[in-house]
Amino acid sequence: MIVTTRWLRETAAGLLGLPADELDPARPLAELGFSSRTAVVFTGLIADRFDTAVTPTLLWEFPTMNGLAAHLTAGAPAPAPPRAPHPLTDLLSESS
Amino acid sequence: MTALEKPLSVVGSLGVHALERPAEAAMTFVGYGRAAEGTATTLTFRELDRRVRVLGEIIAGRVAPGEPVAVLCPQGLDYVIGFLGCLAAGAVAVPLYAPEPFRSDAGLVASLKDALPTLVLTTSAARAPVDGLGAAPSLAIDEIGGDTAWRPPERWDETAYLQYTSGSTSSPRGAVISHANLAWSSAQVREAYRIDGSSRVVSWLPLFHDMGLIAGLASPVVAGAHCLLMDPMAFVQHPLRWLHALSSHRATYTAIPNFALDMCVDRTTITQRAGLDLSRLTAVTNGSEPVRDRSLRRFSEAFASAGFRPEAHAPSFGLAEATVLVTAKPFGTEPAIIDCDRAELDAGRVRIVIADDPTARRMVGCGTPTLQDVRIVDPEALTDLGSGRVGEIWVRGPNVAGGYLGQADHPDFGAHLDGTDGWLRTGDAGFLHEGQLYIAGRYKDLIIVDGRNHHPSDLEATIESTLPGLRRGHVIAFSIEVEDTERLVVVAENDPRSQVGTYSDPSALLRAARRALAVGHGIELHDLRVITRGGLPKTTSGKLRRGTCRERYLAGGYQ
Repeated sequence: MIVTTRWLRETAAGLLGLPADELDPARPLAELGFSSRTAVVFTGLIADRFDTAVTPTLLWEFPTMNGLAAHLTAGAPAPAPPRAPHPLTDLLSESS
Repeated sequence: MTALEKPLSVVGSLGVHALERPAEAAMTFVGYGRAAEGTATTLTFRELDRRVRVLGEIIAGRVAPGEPVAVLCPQGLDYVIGFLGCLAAGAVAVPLYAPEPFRSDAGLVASLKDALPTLVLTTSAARAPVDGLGAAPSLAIDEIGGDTAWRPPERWDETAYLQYTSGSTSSPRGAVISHANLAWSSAQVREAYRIDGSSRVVSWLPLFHDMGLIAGLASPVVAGAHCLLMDPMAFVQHPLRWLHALSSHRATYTAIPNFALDMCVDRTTITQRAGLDLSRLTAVTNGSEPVRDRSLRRFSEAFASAGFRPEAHAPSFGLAEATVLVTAKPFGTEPAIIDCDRAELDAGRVRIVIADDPTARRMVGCGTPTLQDVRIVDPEALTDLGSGRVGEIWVRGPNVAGGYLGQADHPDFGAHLDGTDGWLRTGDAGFLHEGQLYIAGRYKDLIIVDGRNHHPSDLEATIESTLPGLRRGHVIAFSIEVEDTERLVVVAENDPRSQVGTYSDPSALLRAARRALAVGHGIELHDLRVITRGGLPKTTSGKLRRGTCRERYLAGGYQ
């Protein structure tokens, strides 16, 4: 899981053009400045790296890199997403 | 200027194809759920025509001619039916999008408030979030079946649709596009890229975007070409899907913003590329953001093994106010690349230098006018500058929109030049060289990132309302080029009277700014500088001077 978290941080840092140590894996990705497009690109890279099918809503189900790493390491199925139509906004209001 | 005969409208063309080649495939949508390979759904010309007429008759029975009807569908065949159904009915289509995860609804809501639709078209799957917007009563296109003998009349001068040019929340701008504009623009695209009934088109561009609407819907329908559509996010998640689609659909034509080329190179392996056949592609329209020589070359090199030919790269210039296309690279030629002296260019003059000259700025030719007039005009003196001088790009042709909805006297439309009128001022800076148009920059304060337009005032308002302790009305957003890519920079004045005072934790401020911009506008923040009161440049009348602020920033003035 440590290896996974490191890979996620380095990949996210590459996408955002920021140093990896500036990205706190416990914080929601949206708070780190991910736009919708970058978030979807990130899910594609995760799918490639872990050789698994990933929907673009993965980051809504697991908003932090720590959460993502745990999910990817466990290989467990994703929990059902909440019903809200505007997940990212909801996710942010929950985290603030 | 116009060498083509007056074209048939888009809906009229569909009717002709439905009669002449009813059983041939018109539109295919490939959806990707968790299944990697995707699921394809196809409509023949007869089916598409029938569904458009059935919907058109229903719309015509519910709204008066000329009333706005919003298309709030996810990307797919229902979107195509919905848009064409409005046109058939004589309603004014407002092509937007259904609310979606990871995207703020602010721009959507602002456009809806401007357009004031009396009916909303959506799908049963998207209906709940669409109804949540409360814009107007909704109709789910996929729940409508049956047949009708009703046929729409040929329409020409009436408004066909409103093209919103950005998701601006402060000043939404809906370009008023007539049926004639749409028909001419489609004809220009078909002519420029030789699209006919034997062409095969693939597009993942969003249908609410001008280039997506014309390249992925109107032009193929008019030409009778089989078009394969996919969702923009399906491409962004796995660019290989689009490449596979080009290969398996034996595509001859497609359109993309420049960033897509780099994504394809960065996200595919040599083995994956070798399995593709891109040899049939004759034109890849590259538009809606600056075209980069480096991206063209990287793509050509990476996909040479797949049979991609460099002359298929088709840099273009266009804008929603001209329906879409203005100039296109001459068909079948390799893009024109020149190196200009940077200082001379900044002074408005074109001086060609050798490629490895350290002062060189590499420029990609965006082609020649597509059956319309293009002039380079001194933006102050309003005189024609001819070739070799940098000025504002002006456009005149049958594809130029009538104006913005509700802004009858907007100065960008109907400008005069040398005794002629009807000119569109694009706000873009460019020059003509050996007949081709080159884009040098922008006079208007527009920020274009990832092919999406942002008005600085919207981004500034978001920063101001999100971050406490900033001086009101003293935030400037502008873009700079970082490694050939447009990136957003914000400079803001600190408010010394604020209770928050000087930020003790700059990283928290940066995080909050990044979050607000990503969520509200889908844009990433490259840099944020908070400076002391009085540090931002202003005009004597107190207006913010974004250009000067940008120059100072680039000179290292806000360290």
